[in-house]
Amino acid sequence: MSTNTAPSTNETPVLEAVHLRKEFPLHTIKLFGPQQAVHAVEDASLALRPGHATALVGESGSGKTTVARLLARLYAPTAGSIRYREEMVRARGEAALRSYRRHVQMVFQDPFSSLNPMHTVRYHLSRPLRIYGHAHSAAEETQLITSLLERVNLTPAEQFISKFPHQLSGGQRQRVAIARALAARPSVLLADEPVSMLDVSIRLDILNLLARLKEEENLALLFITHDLASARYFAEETQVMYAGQMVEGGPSEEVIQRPQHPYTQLLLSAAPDPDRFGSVDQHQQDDRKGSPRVQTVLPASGSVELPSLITPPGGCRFHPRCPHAMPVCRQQFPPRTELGGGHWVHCFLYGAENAQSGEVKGEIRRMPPGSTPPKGRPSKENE
Amino acid sequence: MVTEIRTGTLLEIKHMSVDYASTRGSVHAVNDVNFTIERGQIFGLAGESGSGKSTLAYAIARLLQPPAVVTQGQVLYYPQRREAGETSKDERAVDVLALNPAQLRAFRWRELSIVFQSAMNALNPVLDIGTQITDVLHAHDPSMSAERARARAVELLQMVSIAADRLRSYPHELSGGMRQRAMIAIALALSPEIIIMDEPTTALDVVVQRDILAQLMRLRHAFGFSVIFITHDLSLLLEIADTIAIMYAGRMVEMGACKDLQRSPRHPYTVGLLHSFPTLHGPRRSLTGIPGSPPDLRSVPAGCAFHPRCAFAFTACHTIEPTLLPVVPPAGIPSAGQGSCVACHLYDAELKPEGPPRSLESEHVN
Repeated sequence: MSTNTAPSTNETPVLEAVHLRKEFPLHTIKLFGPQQAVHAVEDASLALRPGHATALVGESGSGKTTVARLLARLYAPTAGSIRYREEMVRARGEAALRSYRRHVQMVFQDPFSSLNPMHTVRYHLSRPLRIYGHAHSAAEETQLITSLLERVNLTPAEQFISKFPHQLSGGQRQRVAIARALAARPSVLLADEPVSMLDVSIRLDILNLLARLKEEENLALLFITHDLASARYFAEETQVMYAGQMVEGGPSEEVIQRPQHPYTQLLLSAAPDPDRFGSVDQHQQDDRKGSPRVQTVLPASGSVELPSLITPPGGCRFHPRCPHAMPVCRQQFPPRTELGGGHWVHCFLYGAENAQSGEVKGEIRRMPPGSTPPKGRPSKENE
Repeated sequence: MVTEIRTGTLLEIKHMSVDYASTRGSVHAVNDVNFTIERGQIFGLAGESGSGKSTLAYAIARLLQPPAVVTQGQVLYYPQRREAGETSKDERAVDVLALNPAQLRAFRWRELSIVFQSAMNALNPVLDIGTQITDVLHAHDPSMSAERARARAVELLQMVSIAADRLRSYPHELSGGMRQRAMIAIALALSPEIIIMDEPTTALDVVVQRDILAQLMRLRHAFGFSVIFITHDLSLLLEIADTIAIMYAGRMVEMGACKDLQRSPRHPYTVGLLHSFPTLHGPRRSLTGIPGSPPDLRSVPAGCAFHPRCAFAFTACHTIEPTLLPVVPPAGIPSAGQGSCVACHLYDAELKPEGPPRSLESEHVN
């Protein structure tokens, strides 16, 4: 397994999103006032580098899938731009989109609906081979399909080539979907929750397959997930989204072990974590009656819901739930603060230029790394 | 507010088997399952899709519809005297599977209730939440006045932290987490002894899931009910359950106290499951998961159903079906593995005299 090193910033990104914004207009009749819209993504920037995986983590409704779909050009951005190999992508029309998708492919969440039930595995894989002109004869096509199936560990390939999706298990279907994406010989793979619909025991298989492909083919991978643990396992870099805003990012290990944004801390404290159980066990603090380990990680404020994206809260969208919210958080979205080592955060608690947050910032910063998330580890309190 | 959690056996499932009848022979969805639930206990039932965990739970509640048939078994329920005025005549066990329709109606919800996975589908979309709660109350106590039922509905919603003004809300007006909490409120309406929760948080985000689990633990603390918690997420069960049972292809392959199962898993499948979750702490290791995929229940492998995916399978595994047997504690540590059971030939001294290899985990970590 590759160690979790910070992505080398000198390596040029193959695909870049620069200040992407996406609004979905609501088709309601409103005589007065502005047209309403769902503000799905607000100012999202990310860079995908060859041989690197970037995880985009967030809850449902955070806009992470919208970002992937913008990058795949399934949606046109409202504002902002996409750069492929440092060139602005201005894909309009079928031909331009097709040549773009030759390089940028997507793997969808649900392998049960992303494959056509009427067609065989051979058909699914032959389409991209033909469209992108990789196969020049029937024999070559069969040979390419066989090697694709072998690359995703569907062996013996002859056994799978003429099967229909319903004859395959969920994991096998997702492998076919990955093979289909690879058939175009892309340099970027956008994987939208590729394992969340699969059985627990085969999730790792698919993750390991994607990791191997990333290394072998030098693919730039965007890995969308709601699970921080698999982001840590799989991706070198992690970015956290909340309600359409990028709140924190950096090397995965850094973001997950030393989360700085209150939302990342909340997300981490809520994640199932058997290690937490182990630590409680040692101290024999838990008599299992009150089960404090579950209660101690409740969010500080009462609400656990995402805000409305039609009328999102002003400023930082996390402020209604944030235990450290300040007046300035309501007014403007915090600028990006570099914390060193590639770790950045959009939060007024950090950053020198915000004088009014001085005391709070100091307090937060004094917190030893081990005690973050602040309420997540009962064992630390017992010590 | 705090009720003492009562002790003693609450529910005993004996030799339960469920088949799905089909034209090409029957499918054994649940195969000879035995377990006991203590009062106030959280019993975790883990398994992959198709392992029979939901079928088992529905069989306990007698909710199965044809083609599903309970082919054998007993569900023994040990009732507890509710009010002081009641006689202790019915201290004997009741076989839930033998109840007549009238008795079953009385048993369901008053003694045992269910929280289904999809709250959107389980709630009636054309009735508001308040009506759905008072419906339950009226069905079981027709003499209850409308005001009292309404007051109880408000009380129940407040128990799960939903404001009383949501009583007139329809399910589509609530968020996913609120719907699930409303389901829990309905399940609690008659203060049952046991609640079956079928993947109650699977469709929810982690923060909402954590919130619901915290509420559940709090309510259990206050009311002392037992929970059968069904999920595919073993890491979640390790945090909340007292006892965990692992199902694979319709059979229970391992059962034990939560801490024991986490510290020393015995069945290779359990070991594999425990190593299928990337962790948030500790060293980042490459994990391998479990090779292959779960079997098709129409053609379950002979012998141990797990043997095609098992790295430790030997000849006996291909032919002899293992049974769930109590674990023999290793010499020197008599307390280890107490009450744990495992269905694996590696622990059968006759079939495998030298016992399991020292480190089952070596297969999954490199």
